[in-house]
Amino acid sequence: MSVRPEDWKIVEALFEMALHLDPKEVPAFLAKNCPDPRLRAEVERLLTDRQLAPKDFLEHPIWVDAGLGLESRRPRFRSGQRLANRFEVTRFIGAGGMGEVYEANDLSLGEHVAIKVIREHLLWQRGVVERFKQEVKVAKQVTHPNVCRIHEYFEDSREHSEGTEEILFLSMELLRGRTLADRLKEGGFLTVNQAWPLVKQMASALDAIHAIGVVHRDLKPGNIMLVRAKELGSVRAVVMDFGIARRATTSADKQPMTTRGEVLGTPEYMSPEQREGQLATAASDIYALGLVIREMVTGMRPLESGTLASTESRPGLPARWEAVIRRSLERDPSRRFKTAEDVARALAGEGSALSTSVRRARGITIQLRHVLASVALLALVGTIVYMFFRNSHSNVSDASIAVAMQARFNQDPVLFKDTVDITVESGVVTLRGTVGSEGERAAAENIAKGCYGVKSVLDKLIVRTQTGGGPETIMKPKGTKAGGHQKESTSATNLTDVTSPRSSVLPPSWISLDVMEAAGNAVYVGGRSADGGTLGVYQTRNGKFSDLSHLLPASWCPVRSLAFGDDQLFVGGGSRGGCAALFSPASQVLQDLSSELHSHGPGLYYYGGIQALGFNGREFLVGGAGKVTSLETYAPTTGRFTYLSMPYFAVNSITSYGNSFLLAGAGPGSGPSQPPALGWISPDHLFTNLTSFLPPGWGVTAHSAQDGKEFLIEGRNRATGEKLFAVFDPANRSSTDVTESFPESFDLHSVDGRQGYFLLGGQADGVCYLARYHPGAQPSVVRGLLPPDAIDVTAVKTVGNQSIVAGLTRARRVFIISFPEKTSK
Amino acid sequence: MKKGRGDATNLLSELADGRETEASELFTIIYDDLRRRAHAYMRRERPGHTLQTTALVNEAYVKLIRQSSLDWESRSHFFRIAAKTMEHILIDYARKRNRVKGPGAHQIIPLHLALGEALVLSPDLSADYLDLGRSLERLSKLDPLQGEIVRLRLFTGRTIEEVADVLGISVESVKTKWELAKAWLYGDLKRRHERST
Repeated sequence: MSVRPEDWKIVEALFEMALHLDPKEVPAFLAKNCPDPRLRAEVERLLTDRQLAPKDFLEHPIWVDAGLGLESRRPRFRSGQRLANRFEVTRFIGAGGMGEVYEANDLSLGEHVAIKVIREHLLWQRGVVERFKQEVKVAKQVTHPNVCRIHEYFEDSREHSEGTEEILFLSMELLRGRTLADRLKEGGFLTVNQAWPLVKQMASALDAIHAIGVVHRDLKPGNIMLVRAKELGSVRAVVMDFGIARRATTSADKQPMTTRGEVLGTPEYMSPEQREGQLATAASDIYALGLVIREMVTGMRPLESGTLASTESRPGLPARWEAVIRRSLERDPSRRFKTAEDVARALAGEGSALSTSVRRARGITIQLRHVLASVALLALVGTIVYMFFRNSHSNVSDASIAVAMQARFNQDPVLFKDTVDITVESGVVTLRGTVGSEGERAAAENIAKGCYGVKSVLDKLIVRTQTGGGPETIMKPKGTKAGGHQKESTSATNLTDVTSPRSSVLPPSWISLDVMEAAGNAVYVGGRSADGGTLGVYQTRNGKFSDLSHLLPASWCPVRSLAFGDDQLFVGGGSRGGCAALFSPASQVLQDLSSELHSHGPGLYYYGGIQALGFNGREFLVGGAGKVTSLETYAPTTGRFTYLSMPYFAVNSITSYGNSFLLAGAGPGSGPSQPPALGWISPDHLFTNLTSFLPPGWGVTAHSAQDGKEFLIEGRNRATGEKLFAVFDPANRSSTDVTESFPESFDLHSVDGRQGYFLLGGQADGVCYLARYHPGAQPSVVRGLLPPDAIDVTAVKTVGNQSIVAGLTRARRVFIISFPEKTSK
Repeated sequence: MKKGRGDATNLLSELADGRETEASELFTIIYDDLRRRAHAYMRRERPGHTLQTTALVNEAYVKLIRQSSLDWESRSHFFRIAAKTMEHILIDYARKRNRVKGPGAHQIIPLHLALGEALVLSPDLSADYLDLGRSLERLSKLDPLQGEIVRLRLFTGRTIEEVADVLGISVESVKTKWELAKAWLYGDLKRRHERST
């Protein structure tokens, strides 16, 4: 009845997409995109429950008192206290979500100002202080009579017995008057003649703010101060609180109440696009201005839904005002007035303002189409390419579209036996896959069109078909590799027919050599020594070995994983928390990246550091076992780690395959009953759970490798803990248990399979075991090449026509040898 | 109380050092700290005034964090533990209240932990913390990240942005996951109630 964790991601993706649809479109959308009736029912049920739940269900922190909540907090500062050795607090004015406002005497200028002290806990967010300073710097540029002047920001601190209190505040113009909100509450709505001079000033203020590239994003009657002007009877309207701190700490979020009656983010006055979580633009401020004008002249508060619905116009409200309000409140931002000045001019009866906006909007559309067209051309590779153009107003994330589509295609067993590669970038969804016949192509196209179905999410589809494999096809149709395969298997049976193995002596301090990575003729190796982690490079051409361990930071122990890509070697390891470094063979410089790990916070790589690495031609995938899923990508071009958020996965092994990765490891839990986990990471970081394809009874999986067609996976029997081996065929999504092929006591330590077969190394019956394995045949054990006293094989690699093997002798000496794979026939 | 504070400082600096901290120790400290603060406020405030507990709890966190200069990583760790702690406090509280019904039952925890509007399922149906705890457990099995988001929102009062910051994921994705988690929890709580009545 309930949804399985592996399907949850799909449910989430469909749910997210459905949230952005007109409710009427949802059933059709789900029918088209979710053929699985069980999942469809789940998504439908969640959407219904979301509607049924009371509006504020779980929206308040759990300890908020029932409906009371009188602000009893004392102000942080009392009258007479000094801040930054310059401002003497004279009066507490009020508290809002962001902080407290005081009147203070600026002792250096001898005038009264307002100061706003930011709440201390808001400063905990990363980058808030920097952003805040930047905002103040920008805001200071606005010197408009209708915009509250921002003077400067200050930092101060004071000592308590409990520690240091950080104080961050800004000084600004002190305004004496009442807010428009108070005025409307006390005096009711205004006549058009009363409202007009205020609207004009507000519009002029907004344009001044927009002119420096800032969006107010929180315009509302409570933020407009009415100050008695010097000229008798006239009122100055001053816009307050723009941009500052709000951008730094909150966005279009429905915030819980902070103090009675004050809601952060003020959802009521939010534009539809802000409500949907998009960035606020000047057009969002125009929307808010429309709501404020409407409230001024009709007394009508913004509707909860945020839409105008039918303008229940106030009797006697001039048609022109009504039209201006309606246009300001257009749902589509490009259809609103372009500038606030246009709003004022339209109210004054200058009709030209309307047509200007429309003309400009059209220009944008054309430009957008042009951009999309160029993306389409770039994406045209592979065998069959579908491109979906996400509706520009749709707010559904690219990842969700891709997950939903992947789910849809995965459910069709006939088509795309090979992996369908779906990438979504900037709203263009590209599907690549291989189809065997014209009929299959047509069927795939129909499914694709079905996915596309709903207009509000995707509004355009282009299908291009190419015959013949393109350069980016991940997996070729079955059979294309058969030739190579045959050849390799012949060589496998003749493995002992080799000449002159090269070997090298490693420094005596090396205790073990556990990982290898090939880079051309060089093989990088890593492990541990008595002093910590070890790193070295072995040249297959001449058997020369160089120890690079001195480059590793002293704290490193041991090196557990290596991956070469983008002319650099990624080194992973460490114990709790993990260590990472990037080594450049060209410059011989090793850069420690350990401090940049954990983009997701602590708890990553908690158990045994970085266990596994991969490279897909573009970025490194970094994995381990932690308190939370420990999986990050590292892009050498940007030098940044990105956390991959997905259900818990303890990563023991990463195998790159085309530009994707296979992950093997374990699910949540511990001990022998810990469940296995197997998954797939696509180039656009989508996770597909493949655990259900493991044979029954499997527990934690450890090693994996691919031979160009299949994966060899090592795991453990969940009940008995004994080693198990399986071959997983990604094209058919099937796995075969091959445990029987190996000696009962076989401990696999390393496996590599890039050359069309698997080279396995480890220990069996107390002696080293090295074999080549071709799925479907018995493994062919390699004899006579390793040192006679070798007891263990700890790492293997195949490079070109060379095999490199490292292990331990009975005397605990680490050896490394390479031998060419000469085929005799 | 002096001793308690010292302990908190030690634990927090261990957090700062990246050392493993027993969540249960921190639990006790946060719990004690909240209780102590609540007592202090109760004495200060005139009768009839209710605590603004959000502010109170935030202040408790401010002071705990102020004591040791925690970096961002440790703060984020701190909040995750604090969320768990608050959850335990609430569930313990609910358990005890269920056991000790009658006058004085509310004295067990001096914080004003009223149900509020948070757990109202419909005009005539409310869940309690025990129900919520069970449902949250089930949700966490389905999606640990969503469980964590709910805990941070509900039990430490973090805003969407703060949750995104603590978990190191985007605001957008927190929003979607939060919507989904609420819908799921609502459905789960409601169906359980319907079954039991």
